[in-house]
Amino acid sequence: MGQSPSAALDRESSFSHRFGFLSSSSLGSSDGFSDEIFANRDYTAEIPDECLAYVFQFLGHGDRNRCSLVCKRWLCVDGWSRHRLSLDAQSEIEASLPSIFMRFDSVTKLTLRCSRRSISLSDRALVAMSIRCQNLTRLKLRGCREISDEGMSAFAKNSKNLRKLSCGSCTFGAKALNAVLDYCSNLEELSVKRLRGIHDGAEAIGPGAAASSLKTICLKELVNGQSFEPLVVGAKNLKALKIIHCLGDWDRVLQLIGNRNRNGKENIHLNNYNSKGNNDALMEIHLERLQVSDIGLSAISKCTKIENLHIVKTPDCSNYGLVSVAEHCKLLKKLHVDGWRTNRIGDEGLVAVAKHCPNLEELVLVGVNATHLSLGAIASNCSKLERLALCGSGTIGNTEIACIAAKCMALKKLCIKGCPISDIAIEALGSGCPSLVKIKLRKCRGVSCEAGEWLREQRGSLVINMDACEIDGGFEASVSNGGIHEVGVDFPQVVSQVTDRDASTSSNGRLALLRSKFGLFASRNFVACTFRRWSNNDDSFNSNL
Amino acid sequence: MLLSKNSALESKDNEIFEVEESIAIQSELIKTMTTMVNSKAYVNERNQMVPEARCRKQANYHVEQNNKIVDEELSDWESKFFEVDMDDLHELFMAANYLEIESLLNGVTKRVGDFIKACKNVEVIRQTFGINNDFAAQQEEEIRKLNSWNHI
Repeated sequence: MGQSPSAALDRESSFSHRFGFLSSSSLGSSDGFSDEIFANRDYTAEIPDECLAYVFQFLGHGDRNRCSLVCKRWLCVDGWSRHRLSLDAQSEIEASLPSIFMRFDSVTKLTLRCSRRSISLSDRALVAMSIRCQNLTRLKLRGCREISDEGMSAFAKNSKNLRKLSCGSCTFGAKALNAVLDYCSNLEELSVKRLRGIHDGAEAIGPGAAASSLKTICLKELVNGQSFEPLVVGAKNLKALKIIHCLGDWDRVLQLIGNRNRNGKENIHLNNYNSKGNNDALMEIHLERLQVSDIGLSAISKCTKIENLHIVKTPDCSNYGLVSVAEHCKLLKKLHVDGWRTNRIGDEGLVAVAKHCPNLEELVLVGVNATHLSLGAIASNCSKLERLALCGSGTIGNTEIACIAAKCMALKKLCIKGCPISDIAIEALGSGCPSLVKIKLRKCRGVSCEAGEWLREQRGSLVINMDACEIDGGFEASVSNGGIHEVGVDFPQVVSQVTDRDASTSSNGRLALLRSKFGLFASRNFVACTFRRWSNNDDSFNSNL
Repeated sequence: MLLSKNSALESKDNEIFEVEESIAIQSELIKTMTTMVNSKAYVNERNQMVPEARCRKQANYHVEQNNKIVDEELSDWESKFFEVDMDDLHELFMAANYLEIESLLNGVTKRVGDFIKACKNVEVIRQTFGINNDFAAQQEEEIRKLNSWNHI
């Protein structure tokens, strides 16, 4: 305590010269200390509390916790300016809760996280907190298994200002959620994941008093997805809907939503007191691992304001459904399709997207057999496309990349993963896609490290993120065991067996240039990589020759 | 088009700065004082300032530069501008707060935050800012205990 930095004496003289007339405004400065140790100049003394609080705003939890130990004044300022609190919500914390909320009396965002190993805090603790935090706007619960329907209901009654509720791995049920939706009439975001307390025959969950205020609903890993149907359909002003891996008949739900839009438009001149909200508000839909088919997609096509659509691992969705969406949702900006390699969504659907969705900015295709037919069309017609990711597709090869390179003028970020491209594709990227800023290549075994280096040299400002290669000739990529194993072991056989094919590739002048530029050893890598690709029976992609 | 009116601003130690009015009013304080003085007929205004010459000069400089430089250059310039020692930073802080210049205040508070982040532990923070520890040992212990419940 009271250590004087060596420079303090210098500061001390200037202190009294300039600021002697100002009194130290430290709140709660302790008796006796200021007399003894005026050598320590408190740089923050004249700075008002509000400014100090402003400084703390830029700090994370750890730093703020440290600040709270500096002195009484900092403890006080940190206390009333901490609006976000994330607590270890095990039952042992209950004794400390009164002190915690006396110190932090302005909390608006609260996270209660309990690990699987511990018993969580109880209903009583939750209710006590809701009484303390009258201005709570956000609550996040994780693993609070001791909280019941009654606890959540009591909490909801005290939390009129709640805007966001996110609960995961809790055990309360429908009654709890209905209570929240009935009391928290300003609720805008609801996220429910793995709720264990909803049994078969449980009451349905409706939008309650929050029907007009709800903007985002996210449901994940729910066994009784059906129970949530009235909620999803009844949230009139919903902007974003995300349903991930939940049981339920989502075609029907989407139809109800879609029809609500259509009815809204038809009745626009009638006094339709049911549709006070903006029926066409839905902008984002995320469907993943669900029972949803082209019927659901056709329903979505009625939500013409959609800008963001994810169709992930939904094997009953096909080109037909995607065409329907594309033809009607012309404002589409972001599209993610994971076809799960079922080959039901491909060129046909994507060509429709190219034709009807000129505002497309982001496209992610996983396990979708797209070829240059659709990718070329998208590259040509979607002139605003900035981000493109192509993953796990056996049909995306050098031709496709060449197409993209030649036509995608606005592309900034490109990611290619697990596709049968080779160094030829990299060559194309050497001169194409003029706006490209960042490229990521993963598990494209046909692409050699040398090609990556070459691309780096060709396009200086481009950030290239490639799989690790083994260290050779000073490449910056880090070493991976896999890399060394792949190339080194097979090498002797490879050279002798591959001469015929080698000859065909060496007839290509540019590839020969690549080899000579990077030296003999480097070219062996290239050959080895190529051979491995050609002979590889990896089922993750088909050969593209 | 618009007459570029100049404000003459006098600091406590009687130095006078001529500053373009559009820049001067970035300080909320000056803006308020100006409107109070009813400036229609005046080309030059005189306002009495309390803070030191250096504060004022730096504040003006910052504001001036702010208006001229493009984004990239600005962030470079800004980071250099704030690379000062604790004394200067303190002055800037006081000036920014007194004169109510938002952009300057933002820059200074971030920089102070950086100082704090760079400190490995509580004692180093105290030393950096010249603060005395006014806690009893038991109090510190209690605070630490409460802190331990509070994590990301």
